[in-house]
Amino acid sequence: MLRFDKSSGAMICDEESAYMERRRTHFDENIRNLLEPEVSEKFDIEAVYGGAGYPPFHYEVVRKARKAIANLVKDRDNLTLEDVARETLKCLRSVIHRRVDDKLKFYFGFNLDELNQGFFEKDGKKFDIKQDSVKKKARDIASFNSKSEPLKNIFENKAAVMGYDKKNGFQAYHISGDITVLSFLAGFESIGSGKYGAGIAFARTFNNKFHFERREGFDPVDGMILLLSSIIEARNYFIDIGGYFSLTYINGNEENHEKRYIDIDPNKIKLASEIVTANLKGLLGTDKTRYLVEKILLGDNRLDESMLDELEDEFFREADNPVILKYILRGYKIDPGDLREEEIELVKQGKRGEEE
Amino acid sequence: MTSINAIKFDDYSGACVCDEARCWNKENMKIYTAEKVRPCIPEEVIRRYGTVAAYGNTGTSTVGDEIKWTIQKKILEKLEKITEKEGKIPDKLMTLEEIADLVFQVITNLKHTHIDDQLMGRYNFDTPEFVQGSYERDGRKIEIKDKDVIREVEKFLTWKDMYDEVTPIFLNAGILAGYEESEGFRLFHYSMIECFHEPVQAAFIVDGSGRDLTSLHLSDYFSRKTIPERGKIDRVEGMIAILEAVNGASRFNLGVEGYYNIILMDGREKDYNKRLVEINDHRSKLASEIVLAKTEGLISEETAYSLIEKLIFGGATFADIAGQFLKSASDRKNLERLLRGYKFK
Repeated sequence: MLRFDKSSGAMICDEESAYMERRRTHFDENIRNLLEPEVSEKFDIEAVYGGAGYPPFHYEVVRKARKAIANLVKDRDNLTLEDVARETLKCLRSVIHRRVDDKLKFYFGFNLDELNQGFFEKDGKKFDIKQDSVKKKARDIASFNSKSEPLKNIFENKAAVMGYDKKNGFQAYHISGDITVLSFLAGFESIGSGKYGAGIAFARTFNNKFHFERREGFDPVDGMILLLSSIIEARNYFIDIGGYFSLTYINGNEENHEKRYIDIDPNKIKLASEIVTANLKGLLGTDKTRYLVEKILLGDNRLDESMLDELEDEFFREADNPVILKYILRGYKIDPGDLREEEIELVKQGKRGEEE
Repeated sequence: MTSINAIKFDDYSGACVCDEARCWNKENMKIYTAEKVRPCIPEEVIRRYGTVAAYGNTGTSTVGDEIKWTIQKKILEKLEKITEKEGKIPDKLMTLEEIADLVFQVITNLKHTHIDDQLMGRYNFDTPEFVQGSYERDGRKIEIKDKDVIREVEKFLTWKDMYDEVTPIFLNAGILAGYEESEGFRLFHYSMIECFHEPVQAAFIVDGSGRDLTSLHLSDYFSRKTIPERGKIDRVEGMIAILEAVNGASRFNLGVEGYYNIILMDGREKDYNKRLVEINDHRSKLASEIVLAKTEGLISEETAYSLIEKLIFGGATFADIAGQFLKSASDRKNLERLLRGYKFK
């Protein structure tokens, strides 16, 4: 997630996860809208939730949060992103408590509140919770302190809430699932298994900016390129990141929800990620990269097959050494600055038109 | 996260295929450094006896590396010992079965060494001393009587309750594939989880986190063949089958990534130095792409067969086959997009 300026920013995620902790899949939706369109329109507010960890947990949190926020605003005439983030945090806590209660009830017959009060009732009869080993195990489960229990699906979840409201502009918050705390985010955030890879990409850019430059923020095109670079680095160096990327752009400078909240077409993001990869590999200059990324991501969002063809053709026309670039995009181990003989042969074939 | 696989074409030949992704540290950084299946016969032994073999390990990378390195060392030590004893280089060294037994000894010794290191650090005695119930230090005999200690040590020795402290040692499995003149081409399977090693009766063996997909694919492939057919499969067809299996694992299982290492073994090869061939450069990547294109129906089976035959068995160069591959596609644009990771319907 990256703040572009005081009114806009974007969040990017991948779609890979280990379904049932085994199957590599590419169908997760890790960024979801927290608000019904009517709420966005009424209060001129946008909010998205990006979750990392256990997908069914985040799915449950977002469903609860959407309902809770829709109820919250019934008797209100204003809503801020902080309100939305706090309500989301409450829902996240309730999901944790529900899952903890599932375990405690299943094992021992009481829930967290009953553990706290020291007794529970069953069939009209009161039972004190006195057994030390039971109390310890139950307390360990409730506080994520048990090595023998599979608890990470409940507690090892993190989320970022990003959005815009009229009063405060663009803001973002971080939610830690293990300690259920809401933290304010200043400029960027990266969560999930690839966070260190993404972090290096962010650091590379931020470490070269003066204080005031960081405060000014990013041109949206540069911001998009940085976001794409961060997730590409994460994917290149960390397990469990892959598939297509999703990118949600929030631009508070626009006047209505439809224009403020943009879910960019996935095939366009895919092409844009290839363009940024080409730039990272030194096969596409910065100006051309900016030009193409702006055209693809910030132009008309409708995309059909012929438009994708045209954009793709333009990309390869603009690239240095498109033959080698295509192999790199296919995952070949090629260093464009140090081509092996067989790779030079590929380039010669391309020039002779043998590939066409 | 791993896929290690071996297939037997016939009594003289077969192949191994594995990926190269290593999950490094608890942050699960992905680095392509693993040599999951590696030739394990010293060059001197290959040169003299024509015996070739490769061992593959899944589990803890450092354990696998140590096993492979130690196998080579032990075989060389055996050659040196016999040579010294007989005063000449022996005419025969080891059968494949003897090599397979040696591999399990290496694995067992590794387990004992590592566990003993931990026991000495924690308790000041090792496994044999624990078994005898006492140990001596500085001339003093110490009885091992504490019940809690005894209970804990049992967990070290047997991985009781999947004891975390020793999981890196026990959570390993291996495969051995090789050719040797007296026994032909054979496969063996190892498990530290269940503490066994055994010859493989089937024409393939797979292991690693990718095995649910690879076993599904290869089981289907071999189940469609009669006994005589299974004993002698077309090597190109078999190579396509094993590549298709590993492609599936790469697509649907975590941590099966990078270029494949394709190890071919053929006892018919007269030049002993050519009995084992490794292909792990761009050709292996291209081979996996050719098979993927066939699976998705973007090139015909005949085309895939021809390209794989030339690329893997025919000595063709990567650049030659790369060009032919793209030209042979019925829908080149979609083929290129598929290979670049676009969602293909």
